[in-house]
Amino acid sequence: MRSLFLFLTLPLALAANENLSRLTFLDQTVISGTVTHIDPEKGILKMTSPFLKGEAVLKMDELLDIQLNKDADVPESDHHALATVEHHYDNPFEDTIRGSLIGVDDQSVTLHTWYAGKLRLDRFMVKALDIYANSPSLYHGPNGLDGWVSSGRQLKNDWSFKKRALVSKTNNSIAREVEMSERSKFSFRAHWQDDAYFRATFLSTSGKSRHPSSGYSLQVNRTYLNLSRNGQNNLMHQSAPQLREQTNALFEFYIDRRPEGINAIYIDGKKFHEWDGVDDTLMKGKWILFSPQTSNKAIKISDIIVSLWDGRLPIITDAENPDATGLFEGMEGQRIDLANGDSLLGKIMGVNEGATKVKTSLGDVIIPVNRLRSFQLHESEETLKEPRMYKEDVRAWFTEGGFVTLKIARLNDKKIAGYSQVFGDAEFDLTAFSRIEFNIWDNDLNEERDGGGDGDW
Amino acid sequence: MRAPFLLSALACFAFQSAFANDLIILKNGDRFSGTIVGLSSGLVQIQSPHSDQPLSIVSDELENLSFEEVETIEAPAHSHQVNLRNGNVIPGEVTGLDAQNLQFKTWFAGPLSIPRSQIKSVFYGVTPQRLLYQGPDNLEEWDPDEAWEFRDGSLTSNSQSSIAQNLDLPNRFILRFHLSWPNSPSIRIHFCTDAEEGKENHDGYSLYFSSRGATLQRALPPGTDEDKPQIQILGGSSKSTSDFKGRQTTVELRVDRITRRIMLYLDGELQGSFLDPNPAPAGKKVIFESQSSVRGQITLSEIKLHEWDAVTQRLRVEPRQDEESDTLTTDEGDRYSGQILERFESGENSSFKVKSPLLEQIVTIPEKCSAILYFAEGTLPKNSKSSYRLSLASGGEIDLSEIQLTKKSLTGKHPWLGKLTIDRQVVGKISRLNEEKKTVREEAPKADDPRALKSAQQLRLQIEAN
Repeated sequence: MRSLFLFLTLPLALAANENLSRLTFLDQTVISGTVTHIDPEKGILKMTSPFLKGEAVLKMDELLDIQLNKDADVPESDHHALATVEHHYDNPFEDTIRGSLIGVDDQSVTLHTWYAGKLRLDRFMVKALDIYANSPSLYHGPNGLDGWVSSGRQLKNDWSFKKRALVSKTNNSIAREVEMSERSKFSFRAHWQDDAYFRATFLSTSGKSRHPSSGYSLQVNRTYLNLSRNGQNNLMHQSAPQLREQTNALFEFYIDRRPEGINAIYIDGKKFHEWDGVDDTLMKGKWILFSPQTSNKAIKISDIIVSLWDGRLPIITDAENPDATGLFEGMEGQRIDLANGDSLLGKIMGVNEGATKVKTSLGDVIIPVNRLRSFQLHESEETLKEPRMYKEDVRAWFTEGGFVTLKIARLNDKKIAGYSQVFGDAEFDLTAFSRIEFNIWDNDLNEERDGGGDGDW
Repeated sequence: MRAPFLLSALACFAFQSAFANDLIILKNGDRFSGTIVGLSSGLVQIQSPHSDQPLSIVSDELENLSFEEVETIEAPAHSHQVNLRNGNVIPGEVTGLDAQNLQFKTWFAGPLSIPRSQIKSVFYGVTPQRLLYQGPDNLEEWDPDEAWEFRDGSLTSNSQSSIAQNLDLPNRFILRFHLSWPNSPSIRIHFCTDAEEGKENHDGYSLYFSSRGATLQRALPPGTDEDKPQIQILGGSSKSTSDFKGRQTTVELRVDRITRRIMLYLDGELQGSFLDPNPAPAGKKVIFESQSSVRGQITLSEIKLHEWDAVTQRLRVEPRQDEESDTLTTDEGDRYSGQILERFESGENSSFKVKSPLLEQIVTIPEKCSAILYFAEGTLPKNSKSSYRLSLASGGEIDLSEIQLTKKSLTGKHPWLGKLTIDRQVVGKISRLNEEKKTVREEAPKADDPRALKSAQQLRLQIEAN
């Protein structure tokens, strides 16, 4: 009767499998289930699974990550503050913590977050604070080959994942679906070995074609760039001679799909071309796609970000504007950049109900937080402190992009709690995260997590 | 009380040795590696390196279980093989035959009594093809200079370069590998050579595979120091790359250096059997030489080297002529159709009695001269469902349901043969049967032996003439 009972109850158990987490270990053991308890000191976790009888007790020393599969209910906000945390020791990755800015003083930056309540960040560990009118990211990767497809028969024959980048093996394309809103920013860094020969496509209706005829396609042929829309080569034919001297470049597209929208492509932070008068509101494509144009030399794609955009193109920086050079040189106070491109020098005295009080030489001014773009937190980088690394540190990836590092203390099916020198003890709503990486300072596991293999290519 | 006993027994077994590389894959894609320690009461127990206690997996969720390949099974090698009408293949020894049943002895499942109506054929002279090499497992074994790339069990070329390994090739062997290419293949596979790299193969064979087809060549050493090495074309295949779906193929070379004959298969299809007019080369190495300078043009995987019992292959390709009657084929290629009446023993020898409609007398054929028995089609039992297919480590497949696995044995219910208890050592893989697999498979191998062209009518005339 025992096995009969088991089989009768199984369909009921399997009905609720859609929200299961997925644990992946170094030896590619993969287990779906729900983590019910974690004991970082003993290095064990407990989980239940509809595929396992009873509670499983698992050792965490070879646990790569837990993929979470939970829907987040992100509340509306009039602005999004993104605090970038100084990196850990020699690790190049930087935590980013997002929320609403509710306070700034000499010691701290305070954010209100929907997923962890109020987080008071150590100001000396916050490298930068940027304010966005809209949520700053829809996709941030790559984090592996999952979710990507190839125009060839087998993705793994055509592309590999190495050191947080997609690396081509053949000239078959790689693509994934990312829905882009009415106003979006799509950016990526392309790396090449000798000459740049590749095509980047977005808003395409097909992820399986090497030369999709829908959406926007940027064709890079060494130093010559051609931008087409729905297969018509009429948007841009332009030379970028600097690419000849480079082996990588950051490409950023600012797309406003409305007929009155202004669109632009930036290369390495500088505006390369701007266009308008295009109605893309009826474009249905969701695919972003990268196609090597030759199989002789590999290309590498990293730092892919698709984010919402407020429709305002980046302001011209001082470096690009000779007239502004040394504008605040020798003057005391924090530099504060506003969303409209204005800058002023002063000291932020406090933030209250969405309003920033700034003390300037001309008197106090009140600036709504959502009209800020960024402000200087440190007079020099020397005052920045690195957060301490702990053996029990995990890297929790936000569903909205970016990640936070914390020394894990507790984890169950609803919450993750831990400590960081940046914000102290905190408890996070698990729905804020898509993935939690474990053993993040273990080189062997990182090699596997980052795609493994020797060399960069 | 049963569960505690079971678990403690399993735990004892589990800790006898380090973790094996057994693998369980579930229908949802979950994977568990470790040592499978039991399957019973709807649960599979696996000792995972990530848990101190065995994990109990709901067996209804299984897609397949594979057991780490056992290098040597201390067990007798059966030379006979029963092919059931449901596609199952069981190695063993024929011990008896009467009007109703075949008596068949196996070392792993004991004696079996199988109704003739359930048997499609019995092969004689079958010996397990010993696996000599399976890989690739890493780059170093093939390519210490790292001119190729190893990833996910595949070797990929990065340039015009060779990778080589001394596989100690025996006189008769089967070399099989999977080859894929994104655009245009250009690779030369050297074998039976002692050269360090492909271009130095001056005494051996090579198969040149390109977009135009495959060419088998013999490299001959120069007669004198001043002579150049000679290349003789032995044969090949005109299949072009457009004939291969998905830009990939499985290449199989069956090499018999005793008879100097090489058979080439592409995707299991015989392309030709080629004779080397020269004395066979004695080299022991296999070299894969990419002739494309384009990165990633050649990918090799699933390389397997087996010893080859050449007789087995010949017998298996004998086509059947008549499914209405029994047929006995001898190892000389003679064929007797009619009714195989019985097997009887006389002293140390055994024989079959065959009644042919064309002959008045009953023919007695020594069993040692028998190659294949075909049985007339009869009524099959009502097919009960099997959930899993058991692949035997020594070759063969058996469909089972209600599987229970313990330290020493696996028990399950065969749809026709009933409950079977099978030695654990022979269990290679257990796969969930989908509807496609459950259909009866046809063996129908292709005829590549000239003697197979003899028709039953020719044989009858031959017998009459005698």
